[in-house]
Order: sequence, then C-alpha cells, then structure tokens
Amino acid sequence: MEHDEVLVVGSGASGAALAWKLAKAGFRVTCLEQGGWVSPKDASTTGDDWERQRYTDESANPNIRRGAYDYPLDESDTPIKPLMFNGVGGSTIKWGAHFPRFRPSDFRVRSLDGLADDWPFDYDALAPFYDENDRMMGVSGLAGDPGNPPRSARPMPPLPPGPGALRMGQAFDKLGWQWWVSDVAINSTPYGTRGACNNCGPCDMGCPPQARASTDITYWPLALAAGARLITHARVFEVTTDADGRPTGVAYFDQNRQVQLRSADIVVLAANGVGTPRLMLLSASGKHPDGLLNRSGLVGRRLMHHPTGLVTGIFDEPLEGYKGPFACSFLCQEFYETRPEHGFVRGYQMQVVRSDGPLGTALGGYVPRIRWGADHHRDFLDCFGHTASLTVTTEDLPDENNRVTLDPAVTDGFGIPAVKLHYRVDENTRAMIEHGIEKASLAFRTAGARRVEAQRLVAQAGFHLMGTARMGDDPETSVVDGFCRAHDADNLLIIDGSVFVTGAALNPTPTIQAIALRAADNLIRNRGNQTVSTSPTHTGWKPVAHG
Amino acid sequence: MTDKTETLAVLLDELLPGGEDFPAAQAIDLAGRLLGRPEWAKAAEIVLILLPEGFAALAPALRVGKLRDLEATERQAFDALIVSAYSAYYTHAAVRAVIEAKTGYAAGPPQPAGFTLPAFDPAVLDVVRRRPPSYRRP
Ligand SMILES: Cc1cc2nc3c(=O)[nH]c(=O)nc-3n(C[C@H](O)[C@H](O)[C@H](O)COP(=O)(O)OP(=O)(O)OC[C@H]3O[C@@H](n4cnc5c(N)ncnc54)[C@H](O)[C@@H]3O)c2cc1C
Repeated sequence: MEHDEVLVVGSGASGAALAWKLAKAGFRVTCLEQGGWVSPKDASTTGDDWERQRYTDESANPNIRRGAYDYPLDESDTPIKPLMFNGVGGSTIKWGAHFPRFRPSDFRVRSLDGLADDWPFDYDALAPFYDENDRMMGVSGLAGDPGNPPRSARPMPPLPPGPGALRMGQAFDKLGWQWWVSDVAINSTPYGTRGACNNCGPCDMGCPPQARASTDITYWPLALAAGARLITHARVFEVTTDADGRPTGVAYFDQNRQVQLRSADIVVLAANGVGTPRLMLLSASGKHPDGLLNRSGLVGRRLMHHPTGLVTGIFDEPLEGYKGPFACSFLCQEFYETRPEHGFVRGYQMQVVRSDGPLGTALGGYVPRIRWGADHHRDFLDCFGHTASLTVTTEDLPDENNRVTLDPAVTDGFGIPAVKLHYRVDENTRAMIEHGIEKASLAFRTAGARRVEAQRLVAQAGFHLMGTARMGDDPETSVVDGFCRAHDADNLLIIDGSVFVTGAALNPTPTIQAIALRAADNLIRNRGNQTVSTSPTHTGWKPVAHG
Repeated sequence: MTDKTETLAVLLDELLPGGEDFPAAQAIDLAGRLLGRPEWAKAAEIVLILLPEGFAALAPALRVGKLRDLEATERQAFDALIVSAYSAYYTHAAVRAVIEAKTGYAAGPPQPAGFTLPAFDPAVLDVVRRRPPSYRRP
C-alpha cells in the first residue's frame, strides 16, 4: 500500500492551496481527484455552438451537465439547486471569480447580533492568508474601500467596469450608498505566465487567455513543481480508520474502476460543502456509527447557501453588458450590516452583474424569458445588450434542518450512495430579499432604467456550499477546531466551505482558501508533533458491485 | 417535406414569425434543424403529439390560440419545445448575422477575439472614497 505524509481529497479551491503550501514546505503530499484535467485553451467559447453548450453539457449544475465524473444530487427537497464542478480545479473551473473578503463582523455574529455563533478566530488571524492567496490567485482591484478594513495594494488594477456598472456607480453615489470596485480573481494585465482578460464574457465556460484564475492554472502547476502528486480519476468512497477510529488513509476507485487503498499520516478533506459530508457519512464504521468523527451529530447539517434575489434594469441606451466578465464589476455593501431600522438581522451585498449573450437573453436569465409570437423579435431587441443586474446576495443563518444526507435510493456510476439536499429559505432571508429588491429597484430607477424586473429567489444559485462540518472550540457543537482538525482525531482535517460557522453575505472562496492556507501553516509549524495511527487499517463501507 | 416536418414548420413560424429584419423560422428551415438534434427533436415530437388534429390547416389566429392553450395545460412539454426552438434559432448563423448587423454583437464565438472596453478610471470612486468607514469592528 502506498503511504503519504498528507493525503488530500479534492483538488479544487481549498485542496490546491493546501497541497501547494505543504509541498513547498517539503511535505510528501498526494491529492486524489475524482475528475480529470480541463484544458482552458480548448474552451468551447472558441466554437459556434458555445451558447447552447453553456446551458446543457457545460452547465454548472451537475444534474444538467451529467459529466462522466459527476455524482447525482437529489435536489427535489431544495428550492436552491447545487452547482459545482468535479475535476482538477474543482468548482473554480466554473466560477465567476468575484473575490471579496469577509468583513470583521462576519466572524462575530453571536457577539454582535446575538444569534448563530462566533468563529474560533477573527478577521485579523486570517488577513495574512488572504494576502498570500491574493498573490497566488492573482487579484485585480483597488485598495482604499471605506467599506472594508484597509488592505494591501492589489496585484493588478481593476477590470473595465463597462457602461452598465458606471451608471449604477453614479446611482449609488446619488443615493449616498457605500460601494466600491470589486476585487476579482481575473487578470486585468498579464500576471506570471497567465494572460490578461479580453472581456469575452462567459467566464464559466473557461478562459483561453488564462486570465480568470482557477486552481488548475494557479496553484497546481506550482504544487506539482514543488513535488506534490495529483492522481486524477480517483473517486474516494471511504476514509479508513484503525481499531481506535483514527484515520489511516482512504479507499478509492481508480481510473480502471479498481478499488485501491492508500495510507497516510494525515487525511485532508477538500471535497466541498457537499462532497465532504458525503464522504464522512459514507465512512461510518463500528467506531463511528453516525459517520466519521460525527460525535456532534453536525456532519451534513447547517448547510448554508447565499439565497439570491436578482433585479434587472432595462435601459433605452445600449449597455453592451455582454462585454466583460459576467460576475464582476462593482459591489454595493450599503445594507450589509445589521441595522435597527431593518426588519431583519444581518444583511446582503448587491453585486453589479453584466448580461447574457443572445440565447441566454431569449431563454431568460437576468430578464424573464422573451415571449414567443408576434412581438418576440421586438422584445428581444429591447432587452439584448440593454440590461444591467444587481444580485441581492443574502446571509443565510445556520439551521440544523438544512442538510446533506446520503441518498437511500440513488447511487453514482460506481455504486456509491449519492447525496440528497434538504433545504428551506427562512423568514429572515425572505425579508432581506424583499428589502434588497426594493433598494435595487430604487437604484435602477435612479440610474434611469425604463423597466425593472425582479426575481425573488434564483433557483440555479447554489454555488456556495457551506457549513456542513462546522468549526468551533467545543467538540459537542462542532466537528473541527479552528485549525480545521477534527476534535476527536487531529490527523483528519476538513478545509473546504464545510467548516464555515456562518456564511456571511459574500462570495466565500477567498475565505475558504485563506482558511486552507492557515490550516497548512499550522501543520507546517507542528510537523514534528503530529500524532499518527500505527495500527492496521479497517475498512467499513463495502463498495456495491458494479458492471 | 413530411406531414410531421410541415406541421412543425407551421408551429415554429408562430413562435418565431420573423420581423425587425429577423428571419421567420421557416426561412431558415428551423424545423429541419430541430429534428436533426435528438434532444431538440424529442421536445418537438412530444408537442406534435399533443397538437390538435389539423393544426397546420387552421387560421393563424386559431393556431396561436391552440398554442396558448397548450402552453397553459402542458407546461413542461411546451417549455421544452421553447427551449429547443430558441436554442436552434439563436445559434443559427443567419440569426447571429442579423444580431450583429442590428446591435454590433459579433456573430462569431466570443473567443479568441473578445471585446474591448474602456479601462477603469479611478475618478469614478471620488465620491464614495470620501465616505467614513462603514464596517463594524467587533
Ligand atoms: C457557477 C459558479 C460560480 C461561482 N462563482 C464564485 C465567485 O464568483 N466567487 C466565489 O468566491 N465563489 C464562487 N463560486 C464558488 C466556488 O467555486 C467554491 O466556493 C469553491 O470552488 C469551493 O472550493 P472547495 O475546495 O471547497 O471545493 P471545490 O472547488 O468544489 O472542489 C472540490 C473537489 O473535490 C472533488 N471531490 C469531491 N468528492 C470527491 C471524492 N469522493 N473523491 C475524489 N474527489 C472528490 C471534486 O471533484 C472537486 O474537484 C462559484 C461556483 C460556481 C459553481
């Protein structure tokens, strides 16, 4: 059996960051990834059929895409559909690369607002790792935002905002609202070996100039050069343990569909907020009857998204919103913090987003679907290239009933139980979305929009998967500690969005990666003191025979 | 043209009748295009089964009425047809050419050319830059 010092499951945002940092420090690191490499140079945006592919075989929803390395997700009990990618780079292959940091108050929700919980560390503890991650991913933006703590000069200047965002910036100023140009993990100028953005639009389809960061082109080349190993097409189905229940390695199907065992001193789960609880629940055994290291009962529970409303302004003037990265321009945090006059606690961000191509406009995304019939072509021309949108991205408070479970009925292509999501949007969130729709509509009217359209809850918006193995100081009410180590076995780490205590109302990936780098830093500092298993491995779950 | 293709062509012309320089569905043989891709063809076949007998021979206003009824009663099937019809129409070279001519949006794929935009001007932040800090420090 092959043995590693550190075995990482998942090569996405968090797994790549940790693998790089440990390999650079001389650790023997191997990462197992269920998918393969995706070539950014061959993105389908170079072909005529790109827009059809965007909504079908290249969808960010694995249930629509049905890729060979996806696993089924039962989404019948959730109004928000989970989105992700399974391959080297993980969901950063599909992401919009909006790159905000959480605010200091996001780590202190209980102390400040009397609900949910505080994190086991604060903003300042994470700040150096945010900086390190900014340099590795490459960030365009501008320091000096009075809405956030001071931060170092951004590695690259901001991206071009485009006419829609400029109008919205002026409207925010007229209304006296706080806003700033977004930090984005997209190169506005060449950065290292990667090129500059050419404003093609659909970042989710891949980036031939390699301007949009994804960890397959940022962290992984450097991690591999530093000696890390990455094994693709390896679907892990169990974290193995010894007689005491301490993790000893993993069991996985290799690319020939053969079961392999691999041992390690330290096992790190980086399979995202759905894949990680799936693996922990699959790893139930005599010592861990309710799933791996699940004494708290919280594995899979407290699933948080960012429930999103969407408001679109339709303008007389052409705004050419199809030019430029779809998700990134300006960010308004006027309604971000709890305020006594609001009918809700916590708050939301409004992200200015651009618009769709012709097919996306006709099918309806930012605007409702263009009606068929006599007026179709006129209505299409009215909307296409004439819109800008604001997201109302809300903070989702943790609720133990919102959860990920193993699907009793459905298995993936290897016979491994699939996942079911159970999720409800709460009243606080609904109130926030209503407030946000009212304020965003006001902003659009102030900007001169002729018509404003609002969606109360975007279904295909489950891109942020958080909270399903939360961190904390108390083993009874959390799964891992502040350095991502399982309370009951410090050689098992969870470093993806599962560990979030609360979700904030901002895109989570810079925070996920900063947490992963901080966890790696702690492993490096304590390398000599790590307790490891010396007893034989036991496997629990038996793979179902497959053809 | 078979009966099926003919009925589909008539139906698609009601959905996408042309105008504002856009071609009608029939003018670009959208029916043929739809039937040439299995998932689009499936969506079309289902709606064709649900159409009333003699649909193609009805007066245009009656055809629209029948389609609105179908849209209300067979939502899923009708929706799948619309997605297929729009997908086939808006990815057709002739339609992309009209869009380019009318809006300036390039008919070809967005890569490798991309688009140009004026660079970011820090002066746009002059007003907000003067605001006091608005984040909470615990
Ligand atoms: C469409 C879209 C847009 C987004 N936009 C933004 C944005 O603008 N800003 C932002 O901050 N975030 C955005 N996100 C979210 C962002 O992509 C995620 O937060 C981030 O990638 C999560 O990192 P992770 O390491 O937790 O998991 P992931 O990046 O999802 O990586 C998990 C990896 O684990 C692998 N894996 C899972 N299970 C197994 C197993 N059993 N065996 C082996 N491998 C396994 C998967 O294949 C995958 O590669 C977006 C996401 C999507 C889908």
